Amino acid sequence: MIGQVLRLSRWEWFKLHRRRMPWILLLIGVAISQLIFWSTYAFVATGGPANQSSISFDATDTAGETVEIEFTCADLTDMQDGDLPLDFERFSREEQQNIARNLQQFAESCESVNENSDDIRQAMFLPNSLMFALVSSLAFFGVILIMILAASVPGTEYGWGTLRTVLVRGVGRWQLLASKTLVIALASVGLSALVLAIVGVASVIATLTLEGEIVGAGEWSELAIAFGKLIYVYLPYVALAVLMSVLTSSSGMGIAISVGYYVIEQIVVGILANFAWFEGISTFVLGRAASGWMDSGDFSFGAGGIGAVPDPLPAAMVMLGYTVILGGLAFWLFQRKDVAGAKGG
Amino acid sequence: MNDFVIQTEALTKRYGHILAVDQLTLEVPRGRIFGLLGPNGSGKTTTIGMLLGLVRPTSGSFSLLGSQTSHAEALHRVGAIVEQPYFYPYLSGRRNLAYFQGISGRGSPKELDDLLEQVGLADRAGDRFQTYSLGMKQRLGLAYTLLGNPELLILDEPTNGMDPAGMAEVRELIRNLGSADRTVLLSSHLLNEVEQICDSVAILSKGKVIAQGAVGDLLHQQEQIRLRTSDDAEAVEILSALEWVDEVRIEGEALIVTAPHDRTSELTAALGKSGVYVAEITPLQQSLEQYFLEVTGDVAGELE
Repeated sequence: MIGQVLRLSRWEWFKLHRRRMPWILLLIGVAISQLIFWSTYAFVATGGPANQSSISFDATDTAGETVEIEFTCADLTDMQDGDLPLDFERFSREEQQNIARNLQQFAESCESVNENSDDIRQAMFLPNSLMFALVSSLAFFGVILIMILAASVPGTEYGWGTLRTVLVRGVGRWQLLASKTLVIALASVGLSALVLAIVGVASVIATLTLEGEIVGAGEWSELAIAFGKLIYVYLPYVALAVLMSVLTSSSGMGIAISVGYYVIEQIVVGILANFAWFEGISTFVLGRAASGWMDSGDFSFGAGGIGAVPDPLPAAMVMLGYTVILGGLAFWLFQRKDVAGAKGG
Repeated sequence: MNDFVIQTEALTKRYGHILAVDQLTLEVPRGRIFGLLGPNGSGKTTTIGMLLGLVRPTSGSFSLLGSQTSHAEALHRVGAIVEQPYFYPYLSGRRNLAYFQGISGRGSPKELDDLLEQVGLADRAGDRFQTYSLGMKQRLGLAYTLLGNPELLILDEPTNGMDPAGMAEVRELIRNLGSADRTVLLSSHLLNEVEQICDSVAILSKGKVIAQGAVGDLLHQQEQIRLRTSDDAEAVEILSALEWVDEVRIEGEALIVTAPHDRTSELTAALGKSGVYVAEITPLQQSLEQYFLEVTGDVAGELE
């Protein structure tokens, strides 16, 4: 049985890697992650939040003229280095004290801005850059790409009518679906790893221009754990997409329903998170459970992370439940359903 | 060894209130080319689907290659195309065959070369399936069914979309495929094709077998003789009384007598004895198509 699944998986890969679809999904994943990475790079290279966060107020000089004073956090850093951007001598002693008080208050808020700025800068260096890509790109867009892949692999067999041609060779139905699911899972790991690898290359390039260490302060072990958690998040969504494509006998419908559910759930959870009663049941919502599972304090999983999220362990159990129920239904249906000719969709 | 490669017993398939196959009992003898005929919606494809495990029967049972339990094992010894050949459009013909050979876990690259050569696709084997003409797709379908040298071939409309030369070539190929070791079940809307190729035939109508047997026997049952006599009314009376005459009817200026051709002399003798003279006598060669139309009551244009 296992041998047959492995043999079928090998031949499933024979077909899959010759299709354009997985490569297009990989390209989209790379494009999204690179866009986010280089946008952030541009932000960091131009000073980041320290240059964006500012204070503005009016002061009167000794000649009685009103002067508009504007400072950024970066200006404050320059002042600490002895570089004064303002001629303080033109103001009376009393006005100088007012200005100093305003700047003192602003400096306190700049502390967190500078910390944030440093965090964003660190996200350009390995391995933080990979964690950043995992959170900002794969944790939301990656799930959508994987669902498209998962719905397409069984769905196109119905659309092209090839499921008939396969099954009349005496191939067991559950073995066939098991091999497809295995290949989807492996392709998902590969797609995610490749997206991260290309971000890694971008990170090295960025490091050279930002004058930082190629390998920064982050922990590789944290990255490995987050990657494993992400793959676990994929599982219930893969099960959902496979079930929908088997149920509708169509890849298009499978993609539309599963991705539609994912996006709508994010929006609905974002709204319902504002209500106290929602907290009681939110653990059982898939996106919410995924947020609880993925949350490590540094990031959240899409809109599902708004408000308090479930603890990782119950969240993991809920996701396992979804995987087993949705996957079980997909296998049951695939085993029982009559197979018609090509449906074209 | 069982004499029948396919046996069905009261096989039934119901889709809601529609009865697609109704208590179908069918026997396909081993080593023959067996035709499956029926008008549109008669249940041919549903029957084939049930035999191949694509459609779940509502009730009844069947055995494929003598195996009632391990259906998947039996399918390893079957090559089949249902309705039309469906393959992966982005793969070449050769890669499609390699895939189907691979999932079966049997065969060699040489087998692929031989099959592609046999169906005349060797030159286009590297091209994508989506670029093939309908005739080429049919040829690839035929090569697919022959993978692993199966004992039973189930072919649904195998010459669909082919030009006349291609059709003749494929019919000849199918004739050669049917042998003592291999059985072919051919479903076709081309009645003359079935008549040319098949040894036996089953005719389906409204999900039931309404006639089954060797093509020659079926046609023999319906042999007719056309007569012109000196007294048609008297002739009808005389001939209707004969035991071996099934039917006598007047058609225009002639009598159509349903009786075996080899009893023509007895027929003329019976009339002569009663003083009715035969002016003209013609044995009518009924085709399978005429027989089919008679037993199903359908018009040719409505055939599947």
